[in-house]
Amino acid sequence: MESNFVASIIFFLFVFVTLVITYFASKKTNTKENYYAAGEKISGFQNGLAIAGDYMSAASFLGISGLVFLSGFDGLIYSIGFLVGWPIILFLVAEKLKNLGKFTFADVTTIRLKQSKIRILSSISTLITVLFYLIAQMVGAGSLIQILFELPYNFAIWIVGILMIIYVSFGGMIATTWVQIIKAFLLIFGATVLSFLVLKEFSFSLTNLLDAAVVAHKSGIDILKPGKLVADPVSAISLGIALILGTAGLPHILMRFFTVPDAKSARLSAFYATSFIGYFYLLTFIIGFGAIAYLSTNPNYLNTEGVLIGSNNMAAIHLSHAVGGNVFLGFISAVAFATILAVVSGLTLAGASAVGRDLYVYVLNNGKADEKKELFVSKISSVIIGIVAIFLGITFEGQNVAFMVGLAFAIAASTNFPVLFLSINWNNLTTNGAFYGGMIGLLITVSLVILGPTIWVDIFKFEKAIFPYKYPALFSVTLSFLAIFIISKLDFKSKSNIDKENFMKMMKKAYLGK
Amino acid sequence: MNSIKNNKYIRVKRNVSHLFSLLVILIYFSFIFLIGFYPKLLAIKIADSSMTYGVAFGLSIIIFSILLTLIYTVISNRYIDGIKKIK
Repeated sequence: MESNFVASIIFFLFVFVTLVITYFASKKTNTKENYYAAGEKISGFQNGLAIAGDYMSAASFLGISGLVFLSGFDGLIYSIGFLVGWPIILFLVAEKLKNLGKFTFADVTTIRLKQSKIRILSSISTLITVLFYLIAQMVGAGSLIQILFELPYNFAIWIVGILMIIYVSFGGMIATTWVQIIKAFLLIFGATVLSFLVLKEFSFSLTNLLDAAVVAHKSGIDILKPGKLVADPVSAISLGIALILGTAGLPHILMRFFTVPDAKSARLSAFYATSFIGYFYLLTFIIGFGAIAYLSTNPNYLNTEGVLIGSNNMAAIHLSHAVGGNVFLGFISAVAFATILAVVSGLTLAGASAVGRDLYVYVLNNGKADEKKELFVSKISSVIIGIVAIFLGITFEGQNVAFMVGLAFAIAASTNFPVLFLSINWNNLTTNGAFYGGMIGLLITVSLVILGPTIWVDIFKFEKAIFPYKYPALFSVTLSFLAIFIISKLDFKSKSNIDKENFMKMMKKAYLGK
Repeated sequence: MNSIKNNKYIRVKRNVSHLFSLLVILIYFSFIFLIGFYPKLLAIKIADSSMTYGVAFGLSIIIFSILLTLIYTVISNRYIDGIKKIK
């Protein structure tokens, strides 16, 4: 098939270029600065692209356009949610993170607190977040490649797994950054062309496109208003909180801010990232509605039950064929595959850093460890995480793992974000408050998701969910902040004037860099 | 806390950051609030077209967010950074 040929060429080119970059990067990854933070030599613009590449997963591209294809407006709710965390990161997090930390976000959360306990908390929540996110990415990759290239599911998992292990263990942050930059460029370019081709057919009028979509979709005019995604106010607010705060707590995203030379570059990174990501979500809106207009009533893309071939996630892929033929379909397929590689690499590196830096150096070795040994631990961890991801990707084949990304965001919002935010902004935070409060947040989030409809009913097959909401963030984030606050206040005897002084020093460093 | 309160750069930076964050949070949660409590308002069409207020509001939030980050970056680069050097 012509599209397979085009897709394979582009994909092999991508793999070749990235492996060459990894080879050159591997010569430098014998220092911590290079392995974790790419030597702090990434520019604001490059980092903005890399962050966009790290953040925009296949879930963004295929999942959101698929959701728009299914129910219109609901897809827009998700994409807005995925975007609004970014201005918040620019205004409140980016520069301070760079000024206060060096390799992992735990550098910042532990800055006035006792290392050991907080490092344990950060690494556990990082590894759990990374794990769930990785499973969702791997399963998505497997089924995508299976449908696109007619390759066996397991084979696809192995390819993705092995490539990501090579990028991260040999090339560290340098290789990961460039994989993400190249992918971001390809994805934004591809999505732009796709949107352009769609709009061209409607004389570049958005209202014409919407008109056609309303006619074509079985729900008609209902696709232009909120649907069943968020059925009630509590769910709406809960999802909103998870998305806006979770973004600012994702470990693989936070890590990216250490790769630039200074706070001003961190600021630029966040700005460029916001622009690229925002622009991309405007495109997914056009792509989703374009898919409705082109595919809903077109038998070429529907199976015998009138459902889109492959699943709704294939909407963008089928659309690329509808407007651009086999060649463009090949290009978009290759881009979708490359997209997955960029995200899983970032996730694996974040996990490996948590083990090598947070656990090995700080928890096991009291803050001082031989650099060679530390890097060895990190690199081996990336291999192990990769193998675990491959194994889990194979195990979870066919399962509906979309909820895992939501869970990762909820954990990021309920554990990472509160501890990070309070450690920068609240002078009465104590080690015990952060540790036990954060742990409580983590446990509550996981419990509420298990007891909620997505797992308790859909997976365990019980009749009624114990916790009635799909999205726990409203409760878990609130309870987490409360727990941290109360435990810190009760722990007041561990506070003293020295801590107040340290808080002032930290504030100065956060704003001024020294 | 005095040296922080007296430091003009920190004060200005902090106020600007908080103001901009508040703007984003307000706009976003108004959107969420409408979705949760008054979804029918979002379904109202604009003029005679297929465009609804909901879709227009949603798309505007994306554009608004990008614009806010642009304004913040320009203000920080051109004006606020300069205050750092003033003692």
